[in-house]
Amino acid sequence: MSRRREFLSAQGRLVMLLSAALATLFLLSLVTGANPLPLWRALHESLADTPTVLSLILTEVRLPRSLIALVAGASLGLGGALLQGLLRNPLASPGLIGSASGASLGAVSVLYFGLGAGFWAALPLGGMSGALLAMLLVYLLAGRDASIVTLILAGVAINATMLALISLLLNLAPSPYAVQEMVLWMLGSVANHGMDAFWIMLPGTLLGWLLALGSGRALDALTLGEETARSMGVDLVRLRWRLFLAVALTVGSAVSITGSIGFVGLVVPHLLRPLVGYMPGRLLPVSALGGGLMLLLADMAVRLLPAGTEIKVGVITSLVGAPFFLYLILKTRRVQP
Amino acid sequence: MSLLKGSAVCVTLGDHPVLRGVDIELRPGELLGLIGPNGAGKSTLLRALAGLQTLHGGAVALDGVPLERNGPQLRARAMAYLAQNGEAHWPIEVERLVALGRTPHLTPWQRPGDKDRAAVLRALEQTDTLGLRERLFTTLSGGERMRVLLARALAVQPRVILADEPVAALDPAHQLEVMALLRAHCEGGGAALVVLHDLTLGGHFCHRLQLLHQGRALAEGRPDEVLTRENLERAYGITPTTANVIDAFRLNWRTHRAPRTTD
Repeated sequence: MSRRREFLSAQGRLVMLLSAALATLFLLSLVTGANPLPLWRALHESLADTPTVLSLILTEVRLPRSLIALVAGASLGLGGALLQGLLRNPLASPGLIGSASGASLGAVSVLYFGLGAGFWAALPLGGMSGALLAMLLVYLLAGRDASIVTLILAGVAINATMLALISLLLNLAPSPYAVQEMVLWMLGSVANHGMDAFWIMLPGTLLGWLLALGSGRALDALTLGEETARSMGVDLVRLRWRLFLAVALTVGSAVSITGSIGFVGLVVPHLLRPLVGYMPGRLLPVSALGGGLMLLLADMAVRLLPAGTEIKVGVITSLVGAPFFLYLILKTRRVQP
Repeated sequence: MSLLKGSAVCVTLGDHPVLRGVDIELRPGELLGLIGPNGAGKSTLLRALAGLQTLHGGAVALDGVPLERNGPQLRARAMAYLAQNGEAHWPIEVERLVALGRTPHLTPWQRPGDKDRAAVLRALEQTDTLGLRERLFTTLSGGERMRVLLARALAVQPRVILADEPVAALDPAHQLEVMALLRAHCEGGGAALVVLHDLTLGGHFCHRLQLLHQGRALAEGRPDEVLTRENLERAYGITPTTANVIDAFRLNWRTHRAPRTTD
């Protein structure tokens, strides 16, 4: 009996630890950069009436950048954990299931072709609907009890389609300047945004997080397969819609601001899963915290790297994540032939 | 009064009619064996009774109330379904897996209480898996896995257990134990419907047998009423070589294993 209580608090300790690390990293992220910021002075000055250089850097540059990295990372981490639990597949992630590329397509359409120009929610709405569309297509292609191979193939097919459509848009772009801007945006970055970008991504993200709340127990039950979960009272159709919608809302909102940032949703849940005893429900909050942590860390690394042009954070996560993905496929193949 | 009753159950999968109007009745205190050759529709009937299969005709009633009018929660607490070839998709600890059986009793935010822990402990004891509780499910042998999955079903504390070939992967001693366990569940006031291929075990442990053949109920009754020369020839195409048919299905062995104490 006492063992179980102990275990619950182990989960609690993990959440506390990650939260503390996240808070620390967030503060560090505010001061880190080409111009190290004396945080207290900057804070003090930004409370005063007249804006100073320090206070502007803090409130107009560092704060939105850190907030966007934190929230987008958390969305990607949570999205990966949700999809992996729902599909019972360690390779499922927003990137693989097509939600990231779908969101990119949706956002690119809105951004550069003036769909719904002037309406603040057009951008995240475009991202969300693109993400949802791509996920539904992958799901329809791969079917209910998709094997890992079928799921990956369906993901590859849909990702290719989305990228082809994005290429088409690039091809038809009104000006070379727009093309360059689109390509840079697609590399994935949390930099060069003001607080308005953060406020734009926030509503969809929060709504998605709310939708995902309380789905942990159903995901745990799904460990035993769909039939057994249903026999224990899990309404699978509703759960599937709810979680697809949650992932579309969070990832769509994030991607529409940051561009596609790959592999966070794949790597983070996978690394943290052993720490929660492989329970899909417990993984959700932990993976969200871990995702925020990872993207903040990657973004700080980008700022500190001595490169002439700042490397985009999406490039870094892909450079680290792709080999990890390969390793994961090889490992999964060994376990499940 | 029947606990679980299927009337004229029809199920068509693709173009193929799998069940063509089967009547089946599970009474309180009864262990009912569902037998029949491969493809007779046993598993589909079990799933239909569990509410996991859309019917194309007929009805299923729990306590005289149509299944769909029982709320999903109520249904999930009353009936535990044990799937064939049950798997766990993540390498989770045995005790946690068994605790998943408490899902129908808990709201999404409710933590398992003393009652839940007691149910889990009892299920572990009953299935002789207490010693495995800290092992990872994926590291267990086939027989151990089956017993753990049975413990998960028992942790629901259901009135009805619907089990699809629960003894197929077990060695003879554990087969006897699992069948005895299911029978004990029934004698304690519950009921169980078990899909079986082993006619000997079915004849020995089940109060009644129902024989399915090509989607229809061919026979139903006490084991000696169902396991007749004509039924066996028609359903399975086998002929008992003993003078008295039921002698072919006598259980002529027993287990030496005392109920093990856990280390």
